[in-house]
Amino acid sequence: MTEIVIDVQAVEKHFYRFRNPITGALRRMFRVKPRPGTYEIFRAVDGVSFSVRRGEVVGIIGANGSGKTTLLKMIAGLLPVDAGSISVRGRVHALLALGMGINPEFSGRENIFYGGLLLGMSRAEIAEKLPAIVEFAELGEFIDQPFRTYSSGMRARLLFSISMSITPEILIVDEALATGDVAFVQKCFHHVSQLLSRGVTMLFVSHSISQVRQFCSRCIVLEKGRLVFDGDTDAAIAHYISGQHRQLREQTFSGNLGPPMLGTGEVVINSMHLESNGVRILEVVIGEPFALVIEGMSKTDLAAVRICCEVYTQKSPVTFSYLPLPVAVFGAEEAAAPFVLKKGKWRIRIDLAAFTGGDGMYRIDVEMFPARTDYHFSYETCYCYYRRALEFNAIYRDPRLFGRGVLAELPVAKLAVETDC
Amino acid sequence: MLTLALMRSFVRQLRFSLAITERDLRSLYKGSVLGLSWLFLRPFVYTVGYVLIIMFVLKVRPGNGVSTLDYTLHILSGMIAWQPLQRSLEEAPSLVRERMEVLRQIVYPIETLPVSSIIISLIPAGVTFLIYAALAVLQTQLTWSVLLLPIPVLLLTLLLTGAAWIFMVGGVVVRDLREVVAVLMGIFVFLSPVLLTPEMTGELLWNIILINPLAHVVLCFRDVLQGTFHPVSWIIFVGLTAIILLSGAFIMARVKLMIYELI
Repeated sequence: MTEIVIDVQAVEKHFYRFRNPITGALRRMFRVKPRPGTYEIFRAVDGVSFSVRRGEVVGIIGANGSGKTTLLKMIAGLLPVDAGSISVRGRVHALLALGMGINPEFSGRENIFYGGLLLGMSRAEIAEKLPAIVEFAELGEFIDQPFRTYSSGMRARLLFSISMSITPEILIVDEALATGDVAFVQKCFHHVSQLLSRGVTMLFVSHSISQVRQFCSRCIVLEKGRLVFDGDTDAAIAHYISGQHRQLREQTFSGNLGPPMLGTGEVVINSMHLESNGVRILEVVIGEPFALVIEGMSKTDLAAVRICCEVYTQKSPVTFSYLPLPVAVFGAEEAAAPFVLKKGKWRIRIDLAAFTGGDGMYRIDVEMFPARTDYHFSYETCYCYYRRALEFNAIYRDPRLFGRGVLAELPVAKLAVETDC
Repeated sequence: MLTLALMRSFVRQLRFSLAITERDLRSLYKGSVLGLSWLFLRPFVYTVGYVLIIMFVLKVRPGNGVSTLDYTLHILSGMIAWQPLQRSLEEAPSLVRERMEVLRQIVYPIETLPVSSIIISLIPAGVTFLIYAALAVLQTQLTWSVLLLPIPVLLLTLLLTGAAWIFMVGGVVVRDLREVVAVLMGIFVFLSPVLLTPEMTGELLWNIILINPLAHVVLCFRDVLQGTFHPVSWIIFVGLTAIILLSGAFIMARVKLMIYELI
């Protein structure tokens, strides 16, 4: 086993809010115990322990406010630790934000120089790396123009190139990897992969599940400052997503779906989930079959009912695109057929041949309404309408195979190759 | 121990601090037509302006056979000490706040923050010194003791570094500190040996003025510039520097990491 380079033991971080901002801050500064009742305390990181061995790439995932950045800052030495201990062996570089110390009046060259200085490089080191940085940033003859004249793409490229010029032993990256156009993002990924193949240890915070999946073999999941999972990336992501779902469900529907948000309420959906091969799933694999199972009850006998499931996408972590309109409805013929609902409990199962959207988070809105030919849909007269009834994550079978920038996988029925013609 | 380690790291980082100073200097006037010449032009125009006003508009004659030119030299020699004192003490409380964004994201040697502010504050004093020297040569008053000028300059630099550490920390907690320091320094310049002479004030007021330790800093600079010697002032200057530098380093070493939490 290789040596441990980052060792975090039972670390806690408390943020105080003092009634009196001056005496409170002074007490805090000199670590005098504040008097009870004069402050409120917020535990940003609460008893987190883990260790990282040389050459490991560990992802840190968690919802906003779960303490990821605070933890990284403590490891980087940018925040004092309130309890527990952190020991780090090796030269650490924290990329918490891009563009530190950039002066818009300075030329690209000057900004590279002073940016490198702030990253802890010496003059000679920067001079030696300058051509590589300029080349990497693809700035060409603009390098001696003032930074303020650059296009936003050029700015992003330059900032990233400066940050990437360091040769760390331990790299701490916080959400900094997604800048510039697709080609440049790929170049950055390639650069990081190269660093990793040279044995650099990396801690990587990202909301982009595909980035985490690409780089990290191991992930820790933080929830409200506590470490709730530490292990294999796929399991960690499943844990994180199920946690997200649980929280969303708790926020919106407190456990089950309950009474509909809109509609007459004649039909109530109690729960919804996705299945694949008879197992409940939170992630849908693109191109593979899955089923949507809806359970509920109706208050009266209904002769003809239709169900409509609208699928919306959130920002895709891979394509970075927003599609705010409904991207899909479930089935035009089969699922749109009217059906009878008798009074009492019922269960609807919709089997889908394949998921054909791109990757990312999706939500499903469900509405059930009368199937009369003269019925015009409205939120007031439908039987029930549930916004955000279910959320799920769609992933590629193999992210490396499908690459980035893919909106959908088109199902191929047959691949025919003829030779000698 | 912590205090010593902090001072050692400060010395080790000097090269970095100088590069940052260069950056700050360049960014001050980047894009302007005259560029860095402003750094010298501005204090030059100001000082020459003061000299002309004192000599030809106000025609100050402090009495006892002291000529207007002598008094001008008196003021200039005082200003050489006072200018850097006033400027860097005023800037110190906001040093951390001004670089907050960088400090939050990068492991930055926070103890080096005063360096560029102090060096930049010494430049106008350098210009004033050149004008002083030119006038003194004309008056044949320039003494060999001027060669000792690096001694009080070094002491002043150390004093300002320690003071800046204390004020930096203070400024993080109490924002008003900057204004308080600015007001006090603005008033003290009129109640200090910069403008006044013992002949002008009388013995009682002069002794009151000398309660302010910064008055002795001015007297020591004047000793070197004009070939006088006030041993008590030197003891106070050296003692003050030692106390402020050590207590500044003591405080800085203890709260260095905590500052990150409070910004």
